Formats: sequence, structure tokens, C-alpha cells
Amino acid sequence: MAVLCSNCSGRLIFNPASQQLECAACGSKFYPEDVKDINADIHSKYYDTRVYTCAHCGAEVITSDTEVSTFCVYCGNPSINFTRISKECRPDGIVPFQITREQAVESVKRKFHKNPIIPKEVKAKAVPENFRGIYVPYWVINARFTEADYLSGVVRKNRHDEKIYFQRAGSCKFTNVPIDGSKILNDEVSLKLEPFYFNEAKEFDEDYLNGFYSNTSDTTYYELRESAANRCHKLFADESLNTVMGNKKTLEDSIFWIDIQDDPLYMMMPVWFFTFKHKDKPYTILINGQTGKIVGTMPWEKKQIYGIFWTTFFLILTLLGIGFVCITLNYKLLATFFNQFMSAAILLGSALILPGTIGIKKILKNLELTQSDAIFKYVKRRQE
Amino acid sequence: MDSFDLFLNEQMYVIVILSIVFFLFSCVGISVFVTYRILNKYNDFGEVPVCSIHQYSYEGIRYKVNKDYVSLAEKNDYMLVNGDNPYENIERSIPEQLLKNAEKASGKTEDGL
Repeated sequence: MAVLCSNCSGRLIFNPASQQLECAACGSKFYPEDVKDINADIHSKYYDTRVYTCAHCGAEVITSDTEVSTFCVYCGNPSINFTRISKECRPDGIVPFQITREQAVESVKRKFHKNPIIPKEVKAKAVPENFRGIYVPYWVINARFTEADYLSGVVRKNRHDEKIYFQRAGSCKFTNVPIDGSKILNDEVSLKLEPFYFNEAKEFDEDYLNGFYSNTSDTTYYELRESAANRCHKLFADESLNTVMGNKKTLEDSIFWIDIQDDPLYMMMPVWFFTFKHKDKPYTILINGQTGKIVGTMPWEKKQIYGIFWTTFFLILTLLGIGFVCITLNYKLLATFFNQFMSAAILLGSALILPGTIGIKKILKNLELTQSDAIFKYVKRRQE
Repeated sequence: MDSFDLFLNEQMYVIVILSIVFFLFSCVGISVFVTYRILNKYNDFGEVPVCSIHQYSYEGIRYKVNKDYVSLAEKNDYMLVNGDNPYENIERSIPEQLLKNAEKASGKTEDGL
């Protein structure tokens, strides 16, 4: 459990800027490893979390910290009472927060600066109260991996494209692959949060959790193996594709197996969650608490986006129309110029429609992930 | 026949209609792409890091099969030959947290582990 200041019994909070525990009352500073836990023997395998129960609706709020001023996220009632201490398995290591709350707020604000598409009311929500530091559980695995791939590539022969096929099969040893251990975080989102640098990891000490929230891993071994296998498969297949010749390289078929070595490491990774509601929809933007990388898709002003689309549309259409008239009426110099312009515009338009559509679909999918109700509730459960 | 008469020529209607279709198609293509680029730049943060296998594997892949120009029949044989799990009967120790999670999940499904 979190310890108190040895000078004044005030609450100690971990400050990412100094990498020390600081007393809010007297300002004393301590290194987490120097603060002795009187229950160290009992806590060798487990650590304590505090469970609070809402007297109004019965919902539970879980924190690892000593603070008592939480309020219920389900009904918003402040009548929340400490009920019990829950023992959780002690993680093997922790990557402490390097980015302070102020730095996280600043980095988000920098993204908003001179950004005309993000609604003003969303920009106003980038305030420290909407940022929560949460340690997210990860499993760091070592594994043996075997895969057999059937790949194809297109090569040009005698002015014709020919599709040829390749076989690749082999095995590989993977070391220190991080796998997100929380079901609430989408694997795609957690992958975007990477990289995390393990050379800055410390042996787990619950004092690092002071001032932050944490969550325990809720995945099963089966789910971990599935996530790990998919991650390793992606790396293996990308490498195999590099070994085949031609263009339009495709993975046609594959089979793969993984053997996760004994005792994967249970680690806590620092993530800032910026949560807000816009037009009744929840949004969660994540910031890597070690590197400051921002992950998420911000809402946009529909009017602005439609404005951009239609302005471009009519601009190109007008130019094409002028060109068409010039060519038809045979205005010599202009006709030559527009002839080339129209050909280029038609070719460009045909070529860009597919990447543009795929890109917008990708952004809408990312927006859906950002609007994940599950992540929003996950953070809101850790209200301050 | 001057240019204006040519414009009014019946055949021109077909050209005009075809041109409009092409123009609209091009305009939509370019506009969609421009909109995507703007949204991508200003609203979509965080790309998936480009990871190579070498980031997590010191040795890289040890290839057992490395064959080019293969037919579909060969592929089926090949998948059959390589279709066995090489780690099938290996027992591994599972961390307590994962076992606890499986116990919790087994409330919903028996094969949580």
C-alpha cells in the first residue's frame, strides 16, 4: 500500500519530472526505492489496492492510492466509502511516468494550436482535470515461433505482368515482445502507443503508483497466446514478403504456431488518458507516459470538412469546365495548356479515388476506436 | 462550320455528357484525397510504428523452406507437410495472474485457459 511522508505523514505522490516521491504537505522528496515498506515480506508476491463502494448505487471504484475523495462514475454521487483492500499479483516491473500531467496537456494543446478543424469546445477541454495517468498492464514475452507462408508477387516479363508464387517456412526466436494485458484496450490502439523502452524499467514498487491509477491484467493465457501469435505472425510475414521478388507482394496463405517461454514478465506501462465528451459521444486520446506520443482521432467540425471537400470539388470542376470550353472553341494557347491539365486531372482523380477512400475509411475506424465507450468508462472509473 | 456550330452539333452532346462524367469522377477523386490528407494531418494522431522482426529477434528467421515459382498443387502439399504444430505437447508454467484471470473467465466459458 502507498506509504506516507516520514516527516509529516502527508500524502506522497510520484513526480515524473524529478522521478521522486514528493510530499504535498511539507515538500519532502524521497526516491521510491529508498522508501521502506513495513509490510515488504507479506507483500513479496502481492500488493494492495483499495476498493471504494458507492453508497448510492453500490458500484465499486478501485484505486491503488490513498486518496478518498473519489466520486462514483456511474451515478456521480460523491458518497463513496472505502470498503476493503484487495490483494493483486505483484507485477515484475514498472516503467515509471516520465511525462508529467502538465507536459501531457501541453503536448495535446500543441496539436490543437492553429488547427481549424477541431471544434473550439473540444480545444477548451484540454485541461489537467481531464487527464488521468494510468499504469496499463503489459506482458513481455519471449517465444519460439514457426510459420509457413505461401506468397505471391507480380513480375514483368516480355511486356506482360506475371504472378508468381513462393513458399517460405521457418522458425524464429522472439525476445521482449510487449503484449497488452488489458482487454479494455484494443490491441491496435496499444500497438500505436509503442515503443516503450524497457531499459528504463524499474523493479515494481507500489510507491510509483502514488498519484496515478493502475489496472491489473484481465487477459487469460489463451488470449495472451493469441495476441502474441498474431503480433509475431505480422513481423514474420512482413520479413518473408521482403524476400520475394516483384511488385504487389501478397501473403496468400499462412499457418503459424507459438510457444511462449516460461514466466513472461508482468509489467506496468505509463499512459495518460485524455477523456472528454463531445456531442454526447465519449472520446479517449492516449499519450504514452514515457515518450509523449499521442494516439487517437479528434472529432472535427463537419461544416469545415464539407467546406474543404466542396471547395476542392468545385475548384477542379471549374478549371475542367474552362478547359473544356477552351478546347472546344479552339483557343490555341489555352487549349494546349488545358488539354494537358485535363488529362492530368482525370488521371490523377482516377488514381487518387481509391487511396482517398481507403484513407478516410481508416480515419473513421480510428475515430471509432477513440470513441470506444469501454475505454471511456475504464478511465472514468478512475475519477479523481 | 465554326467552333460554335460544332459545339451545337449533335455528336457534341455525347462528348459533353461523357466529359461531365469524367470530370465529376476526377473531382470526387481529388476532393476525397485532399479531405483525407487534411484529416490525416490535423485529426488522426499516432501511427503504428514500423517494426522489423530484428527489433524483437536477434537471429532473424531460420528458413527451412525457401522456394520460388511454386504451383497451387505444390502449395497444398507444402501446407500439409508443414501443417503440424511443433510445440504441441510442451507444457509451460503460467503466471498466477493469468491463471486467476482464467478462473474468473471460466465463469463464462470452460475453455478460458
